[in-house]
Amino acid sequence: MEPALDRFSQFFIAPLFLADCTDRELNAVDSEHKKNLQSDTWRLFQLDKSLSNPAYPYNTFGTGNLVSLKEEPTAKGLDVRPAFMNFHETYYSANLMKLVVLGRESLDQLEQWVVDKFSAVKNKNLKAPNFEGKPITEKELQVIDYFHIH
Amino acid sequence: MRTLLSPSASFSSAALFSQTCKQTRHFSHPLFNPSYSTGSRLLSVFQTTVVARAHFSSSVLSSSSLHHSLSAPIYTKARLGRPLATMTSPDASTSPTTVPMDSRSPRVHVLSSKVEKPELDDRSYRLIRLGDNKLEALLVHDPKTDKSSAAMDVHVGHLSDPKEFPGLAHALEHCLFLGNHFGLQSFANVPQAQRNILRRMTIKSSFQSIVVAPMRSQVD
Repeated sequence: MEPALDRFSQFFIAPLFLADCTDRELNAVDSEHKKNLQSDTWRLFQLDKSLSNPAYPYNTFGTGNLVSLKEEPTAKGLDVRPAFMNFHETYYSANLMKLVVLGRESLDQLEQWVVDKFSAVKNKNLKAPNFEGKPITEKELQVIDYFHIH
Repeated sequence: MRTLLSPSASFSSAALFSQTCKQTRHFSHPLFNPSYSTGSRLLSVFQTTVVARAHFSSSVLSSSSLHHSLSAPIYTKARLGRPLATMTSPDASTSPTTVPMDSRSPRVHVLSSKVEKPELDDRSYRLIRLGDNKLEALLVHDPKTDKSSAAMDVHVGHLSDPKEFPGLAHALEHCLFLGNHFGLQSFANVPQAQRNILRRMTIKSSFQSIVVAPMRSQVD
């Protein structure tokens, strides 16, 4: 378990975002989205989001796919890799993270490993994200939307 | 409800997390069909908790899609009592602001080592905070488990996505395995005496991400 924990922790300490790997993961995200397209629950979820207040971040496409993460940004001359690094740098902070480790080893052993592997995670003393505004306002309430199903 | 939604809500996922290997039929969530062979229960458990926080973040949200989920945290509350992080015994000498124990290095503070738990729970728990970076961690010792697991809640998710990149937070979760040159993904292929199998479970909610990496260790 120790080497696995070591690798796990590195993502939070020093992520590399190698270009070829990033591409592969974008494809994984894309197929996850394609799978979701088959699910009524997911479709309703996105519909709910899309019909919410456009000024509130609930009104977004959270899963992402190749179009939203690669094709459209590329068309605007943007690259996803620096965006990854920027997001990681901006929002990942040890003071906000919570870790759980479960194993057969003694608590003292687990504690030692966690101290060894995770003490290097950077603490940026961030505040937890908070979103002003409301996802649903008068404009969205008491409205009936009709959709034509093909 | 309020209890579950306390700042330590992350650890209610920890509490659930520690229960998953033993109890087989609870917390199934319609969003996720357990088609993932390993960890599907983990997934649904985390989903349940995540929904609780998602609701908290948008408490004015009365839409039906989240509304139906509200029964989930109540259900978990019934199963587990209070979230684990608040389960200190009333007479526990340790408090959340405890100074380091004498015998320990200042690199770790024990927040709680007395955890109130069900009588049949033979696991032991310790809640710590790292001195270097304030990271809090719940340690769970299960002498009988054949799987080791680790989970990290990073408390940020797609509500923080930049406008130019919808889905960035989620894609970043996928990059877990790109942690280093011998990232988690390649780890499964590294020849080891222990044959570890790693699976990735990723969860996203309105505003946070949890990364779970169950690791199966060889049983002696």
